[in-house]
Amino acid sequence: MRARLAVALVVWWIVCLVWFARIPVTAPLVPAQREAFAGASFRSAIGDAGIDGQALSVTAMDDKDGVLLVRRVDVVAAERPVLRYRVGDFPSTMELALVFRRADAPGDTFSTTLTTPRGEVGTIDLATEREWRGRIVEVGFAAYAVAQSAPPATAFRPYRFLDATFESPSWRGALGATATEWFGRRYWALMSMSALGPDAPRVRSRSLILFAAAGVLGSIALAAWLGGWRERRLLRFAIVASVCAWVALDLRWLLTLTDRHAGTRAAYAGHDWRQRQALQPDRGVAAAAARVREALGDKLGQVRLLVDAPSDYERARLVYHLLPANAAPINLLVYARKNYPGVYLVTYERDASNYDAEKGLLTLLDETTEPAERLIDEPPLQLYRLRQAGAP
Amino acid sequence: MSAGYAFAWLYVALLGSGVWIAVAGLPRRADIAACLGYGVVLGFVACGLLVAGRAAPGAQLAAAAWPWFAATLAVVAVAAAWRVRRAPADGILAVPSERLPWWGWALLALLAWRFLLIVDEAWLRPVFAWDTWIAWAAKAKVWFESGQAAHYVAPPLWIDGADANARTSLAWHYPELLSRIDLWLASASGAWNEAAIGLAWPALWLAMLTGCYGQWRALGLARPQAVLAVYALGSLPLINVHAALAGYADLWIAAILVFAVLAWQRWLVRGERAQLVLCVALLATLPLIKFEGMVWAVALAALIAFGAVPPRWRLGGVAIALVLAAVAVLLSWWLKLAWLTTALGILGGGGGGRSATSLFGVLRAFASGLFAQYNWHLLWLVVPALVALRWRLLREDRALALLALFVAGAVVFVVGLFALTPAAKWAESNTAINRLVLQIVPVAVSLCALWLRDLSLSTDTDRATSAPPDPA
Repeated sequence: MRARLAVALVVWWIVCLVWFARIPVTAPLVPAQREAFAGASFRSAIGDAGIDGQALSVTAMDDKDGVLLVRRVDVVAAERPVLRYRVGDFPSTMELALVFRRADAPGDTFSTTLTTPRGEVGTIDLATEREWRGRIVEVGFAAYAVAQSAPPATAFRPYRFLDATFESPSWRGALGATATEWFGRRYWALMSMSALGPDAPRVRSRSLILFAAAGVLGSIALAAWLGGWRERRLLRFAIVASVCAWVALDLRWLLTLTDRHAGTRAAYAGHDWRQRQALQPDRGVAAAAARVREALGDKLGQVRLLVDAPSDYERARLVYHLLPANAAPINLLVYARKNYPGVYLVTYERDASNYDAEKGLLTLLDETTEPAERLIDEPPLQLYRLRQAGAP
Repeated sequence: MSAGYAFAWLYVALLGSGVWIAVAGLPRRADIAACLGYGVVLGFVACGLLVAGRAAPGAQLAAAAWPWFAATLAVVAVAAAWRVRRAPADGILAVPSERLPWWGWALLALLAWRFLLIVDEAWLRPVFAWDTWIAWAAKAKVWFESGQAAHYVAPPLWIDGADANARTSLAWHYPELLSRIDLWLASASGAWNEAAIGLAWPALWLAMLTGCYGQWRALGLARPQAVLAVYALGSLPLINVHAALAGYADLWIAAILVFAVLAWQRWLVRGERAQLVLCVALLATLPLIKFEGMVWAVALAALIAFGAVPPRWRLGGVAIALVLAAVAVLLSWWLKLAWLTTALGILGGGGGGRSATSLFGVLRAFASGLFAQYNWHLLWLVVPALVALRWRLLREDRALALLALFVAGAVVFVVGLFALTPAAKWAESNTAINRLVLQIVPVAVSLCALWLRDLSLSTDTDRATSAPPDPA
């Protein structure tokens, strides 16, 4: 009876793995077709990179904090939906993305984020990407600091792009893709405070938690059916199985937590607390706030500022960087008033052409106009002092 | 790190532990863990209350408030000394101290490794998470630089410009105790040092685990069981995140709520009046931290009132509970308390929310957060399994039944809030629902732990652990 139960448990866990890893059961164990491109065959379109044997050594980002390695290819998407990419020493504080062009839309660029692999090898099943179809004529691998999280000033570390291989479907490819999603390295995102899993740029795999739960529940059911145990023994088995599954999931979480923390150490360790506070993920916004503080000087503590930017994030961050200035995001007021005398307006990445310098009139987003004096015009930053109508 | 900052931490521990001793007497054995855990939370809350209203800017605040702090500590010390002389402790712990098996030490080692990562993360990383720099830390930073004369008003009042000290923000109406705790820590460190402020969150996490361990032991869990439960709570990923990425209020609510609930359970099970006093004091601080705190406080207070009524007067108990809740809401409406205005705004769609595009979508997001995302390991699969296997125990254990009622009610409230009101927007985007669940998760873990307390983890033949004693 014990042997029967052991076999049944093994079979059950394999069935769960096949379903959760989306393994195409009719596919071969290893890919029948493969097309590999060595890292050295790519060129650096953005950032600095040099050939290092068969690999490409990436040594610097460009001044817009990005890297892009590209090469021409001729890949039929439906025949090669699995991408196996190898990257060495890729920093935790950066994000990797696949960029590609199709023959039917040569002017368009499509992209999808790639999970940073644990170890060197990562796999992704591109069959789930809507734009991965037709003939692929160019591919690229972009890298940039994790948005809203990693300070670009310290995010980059040199890494090696080893190779990229496009494969036909196989058990190995499906297992590799699932393993990359389940165990790949992640970095902190703002969403991490609210949900783990959705804090990754894309959720591609079925849930590891549900896999563990299905495995445990099925094991308990099999033990009850085949083991013939009494209730108390079965309860103890259920508790032990649940605890083992919990600990396994926790070890995986601890690995992830260690990765995230390693990224934080890479970005911030070795700096004192003042320097760390100066390392901001949105250094452009922080620099704009510093420029406003410099321009207003001693008046900063006495004036009120309205802040405008394209997104809630940039607006709120600009307000925070301006503290302790008396600042508020402009959308709070819902343009309730039509006259803002004595208030300063800070705009970041807004259209500067809405200011008529000759007439001294500023057109706001609700298309009303306010008399204003422009104090800073250094795109993407403008600073205006809103005046009473008729005032000098 | 400055001597002033180190002294501030010592002050928190002394003041908070002193409050515990003044109320519950000198702790013995596992109660020492409860005293320390509760002490950290009570100490921080007290320091946040003590700095409120002081005019000095942050750099001078600690020195300016020092006489108040010293006087408060002296009063607490006197009260504690008097309490110890009058009656050393309420009852004794009856559960024998089993030796911790090897797996218990392994689980504690996993927690210790995690704690090191969390502390270093909170120390290294400046303010990061959204609500921290919009709400909690933003107000504290303004007060630190300008003094607490700067107060927050609604945007139309701010733009009028009549009050030079008026400020506004998206979070102008949020409770301010947490911001004052931030302010006090910054003041103690001598500068707006976000690392110095952030260390409070790993400390809170550790205090929550320690306090829960002590209370679970007092409520009849054997040491191996209590350590397993501590590991279960401490290993939950989203709680780890809130401890590491310091700044949010949800972990504070979670810790204070579970401390209040466990103190209430001790009063129910062991008749310790001192624990009821602690429970009420903690309940009173919940609304000062975050708006949801008021909802939990009213719900728990109503349940305490219901639970205090003998079973034969059950209908009367329900009536009392409903009346208490209604009085709390009416009083809040009359006093125009911000939590009610905000709640009505959310329910009416005025807070930027929108009703669910589909009920199925909201329920799916809720279920995903509980069961499929990486937030809670297998916790929310264990809870229904326990309900299915051990629901009969609730008929025999009234305290446990009331605790289960609280957890069930909390879950129903969360589902109802997101499924039936304009708060659905925040469920479908995963931005709020899991954080609301986080606030009740320690209570849910406590329920699971207490529900299994009769089950021995020994490899010997099964034996029942000792039940908590009758009150001395």
